[in-house]
Amino acid sequence: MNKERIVDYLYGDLDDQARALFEQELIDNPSLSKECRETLKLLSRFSAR
Amino acid sequence: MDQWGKRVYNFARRYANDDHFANEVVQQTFIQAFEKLDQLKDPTKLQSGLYRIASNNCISQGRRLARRRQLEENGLIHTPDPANPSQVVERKELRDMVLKVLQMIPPEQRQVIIMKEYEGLKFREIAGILEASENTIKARMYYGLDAKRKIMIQNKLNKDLYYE
Repeated sequence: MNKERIVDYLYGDLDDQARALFEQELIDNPSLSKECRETLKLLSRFSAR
Repeated sequence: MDQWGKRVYNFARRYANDDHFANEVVQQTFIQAFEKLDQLKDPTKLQSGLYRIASNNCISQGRRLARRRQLEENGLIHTPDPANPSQVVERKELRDMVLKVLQMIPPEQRQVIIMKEYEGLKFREIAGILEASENTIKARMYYGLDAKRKIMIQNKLNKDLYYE
């Protein structure tokens, strides 16, 4: 998995088509999905400062 | 300039989680910025110029402190106890915990996280400041967040990160 693409997804920088593809990958790959959920949770901790 | 002083201070404070460190970095940054005044006159270059100088100073100040710590551990120099012996590192607050874990991340990744999450800069701007490609900056962001997430989970610092 391309790291830059994960970051783009986390920050909402993917266009609609790329995001749909990525979200399909999340469905197919539970560990990636878990990683992204945990990282999003972590990012919310920054905004809670 | 006061506004920039605060921004540089906040950047350095988050980098090291230490007031004294941050004040040293601010002082060094403005001395060096003054020396490069000609280059920083252009307002479009002021932000990137100051952050670049501050980033470099954070790294060099961090190295100086690490060397000093090493000398202290080896008994070669001695630092007096602080005036207030009850002074302890602030804990429990979420903000402090997040900052603490940030200190465990490699400097290059830490800089990117601070610039993105605390300074609100765009990846493109961070790439300009740190003179790296945008993809490199995003990769550093990824590895930094990944390291932080793992540290928090390993140390059971944030139950909310558990899903299973």
